[in-house]
Amino acid sequence: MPDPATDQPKGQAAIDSLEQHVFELSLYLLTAARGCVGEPQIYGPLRLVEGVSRLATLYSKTDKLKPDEFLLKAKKEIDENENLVMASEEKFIALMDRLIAEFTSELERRYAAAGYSTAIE
Amino acid sequence: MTERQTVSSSQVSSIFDIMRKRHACRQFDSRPVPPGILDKLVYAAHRAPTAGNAPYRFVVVVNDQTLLRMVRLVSPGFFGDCSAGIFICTDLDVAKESGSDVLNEIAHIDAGAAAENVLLAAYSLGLAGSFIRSYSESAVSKLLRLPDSCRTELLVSIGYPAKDEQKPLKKRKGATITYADRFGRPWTVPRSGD
Repeated sequence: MPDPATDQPKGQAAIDSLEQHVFELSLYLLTAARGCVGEPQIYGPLRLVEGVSRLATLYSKTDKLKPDEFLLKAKKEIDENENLVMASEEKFIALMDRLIAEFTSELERRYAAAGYSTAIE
Repeated sequence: MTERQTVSSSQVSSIFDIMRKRHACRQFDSRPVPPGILDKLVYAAHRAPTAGNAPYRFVVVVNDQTLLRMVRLVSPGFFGDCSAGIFICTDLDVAKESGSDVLNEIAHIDAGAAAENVLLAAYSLGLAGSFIRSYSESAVSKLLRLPDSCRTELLVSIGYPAKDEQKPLKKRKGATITYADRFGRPWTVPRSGD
């Protein structure tokens, strides 16, 4: 329920708003960047991959965006597997490579669906 | 008979059992941790040793869900929605008064001992958690209203493990190297010599 004086949502609605989520995502990226200065090198990629997962959370914060099933599936895959970094950097790197391959295929599919040819001449 | 001598064999085996069960938990259910339980974890933290028996260590229990959410937002390494957190901190002024600047460094070690006590106590009570160090020191200090003379060392996340918690990671190869007396000399014990 918006505050009549400011027309801004209050309470839980304000905390769960899309605007607040973007703000909090920005804070995550900022603190992650600061952490990269002194933390193990592989944590940098981990934070970025985690950022992809957090971006996909946007869909749960608004009905203005149509949920992107591909990104939500990627988020699930990240959430279930990003801890691999603690056991095996190789497996974490393989996860990133797999995601990149899936994203690239999806990119091509979307461009093709939009009428752009991706065939090599 | 001293307190140390009264530890029973079943208690000893339970300590090893808890050590075996402890792992980094990052998936929790939403149950709050009762204050009385948190108080037991605080006791465990304070029972850990400090160099020179100096009172420079203190803990901050974060059980306010709004504050915990804000701490999580400035902690990129904070995975999972735990119900509470315990910061292990050092009062640098007290450390300096208690000895020398060396205590500044040793405080890191003492914080680790306290944090491990917290986690072992937590697992013995059916809770779970993990160490978190990937947080913004300046942001957390601001949120906790820490004076400049104090430093956070480590955060221990605390909560009830989720039913679908991910399987604990296996130790990496080489994580249990033990030598006997000299570097490179393998530590071996006879199988029947326990």
